[in-house]
Amino acid sequence: MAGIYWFADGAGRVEATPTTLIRWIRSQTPDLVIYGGDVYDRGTEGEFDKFFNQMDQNVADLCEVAGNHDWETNSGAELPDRVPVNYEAFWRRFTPPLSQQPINTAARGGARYDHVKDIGGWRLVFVDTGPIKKKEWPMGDESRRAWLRRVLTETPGRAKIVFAHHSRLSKGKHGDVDKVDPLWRDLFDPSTSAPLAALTVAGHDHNVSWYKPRPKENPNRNTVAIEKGIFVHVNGAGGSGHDEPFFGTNPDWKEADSYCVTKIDIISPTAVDVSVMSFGEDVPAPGKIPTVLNRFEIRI
Amino acid sequence: MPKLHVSQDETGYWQLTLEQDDGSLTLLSHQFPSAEHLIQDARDLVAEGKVPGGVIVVGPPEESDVRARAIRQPYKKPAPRKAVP
Repeated sequence: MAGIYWFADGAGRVEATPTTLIRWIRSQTPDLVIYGGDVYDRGTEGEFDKFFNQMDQNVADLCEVAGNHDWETNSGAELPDRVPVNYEAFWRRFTPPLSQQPINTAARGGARYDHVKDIGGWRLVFVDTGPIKKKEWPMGDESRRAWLRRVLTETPGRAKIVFAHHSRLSKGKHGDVDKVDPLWRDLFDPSTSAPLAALTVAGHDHNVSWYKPRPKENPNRNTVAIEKGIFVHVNGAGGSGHDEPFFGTNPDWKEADSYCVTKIDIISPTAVDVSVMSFGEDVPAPGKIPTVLNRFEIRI
Repeated sequence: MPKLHVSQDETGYWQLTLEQDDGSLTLLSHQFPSAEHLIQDARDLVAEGKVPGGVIVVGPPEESDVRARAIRQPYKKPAPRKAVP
């Protein structure tokens, strides 16, 4: 069994929450830790220095899908050639094996950070959506769609989890991100509409949502059988305030008041359990032990 | 015309409240350590058309800041409020 941990939307500030979360995660001997993006406020060099200190100056087990705040300090080039300069500079200091975040310097813009990892019979697919509010997926780079199609189909089955900062469905201050709808649609077979992945995981809204399988068309309207849809999970409750559930699609389960880590246990090549671990409503002190708020089973 | 209020509340943290045309208040975000993030979010809500024509109102910092919370009560979700009474 492998343990994957996700937290997002909390680092780069003075609050203690990210350090509390990462110390507990590391006490669980993780196989991989994913920071789901946003080093606040603008992804500056100094804010990435704070992020590094919050991670106890160790990112060997970490990768990061960049968020919109990481992209606030950018090269100024037009998409798709724009890059988040301090995000890139930071992770280039810690190329694997010093971290789990590769950078493909031969690619353009956000495609430089797209990558996959194969763990326990599951393929983890990491997609950069940082500048999505400027332009919808694939943000001016059609080669990213071909890459995504390839990594979703070159191994059999749909034991794949797609990680990005922005979610097609969400309930919070931001709500659904319509500009990732083309990305959502790319997660389904273009001819049969069969899902090519089992789950998407994102942040952005500072709370937690869980959606039962949703279809390619109009995922905001209804759930479908697992054979026809993809589970959607949002957890942006990683340390920088709480967002109330206001805009967006109502989830099948919701938590808006706690700081949370998502734990993904890979049980087998056809089974994962997703647990939402709560550190409570207030800024958690280092050493705090979380409680399980809910656990979801995915069996494909 | 709706308003988006960014203010430091009684917890010492910053919150974002939506005021509808009928005067009703809805808390959108709370426990943020500074105003800047919420101001940007408010701008995005207006630009994206989620709060069409919304006016952003930013209140002044309170005397007590986040650091003072160490000796205060455990955090409790604040009520929505206007930035300027």
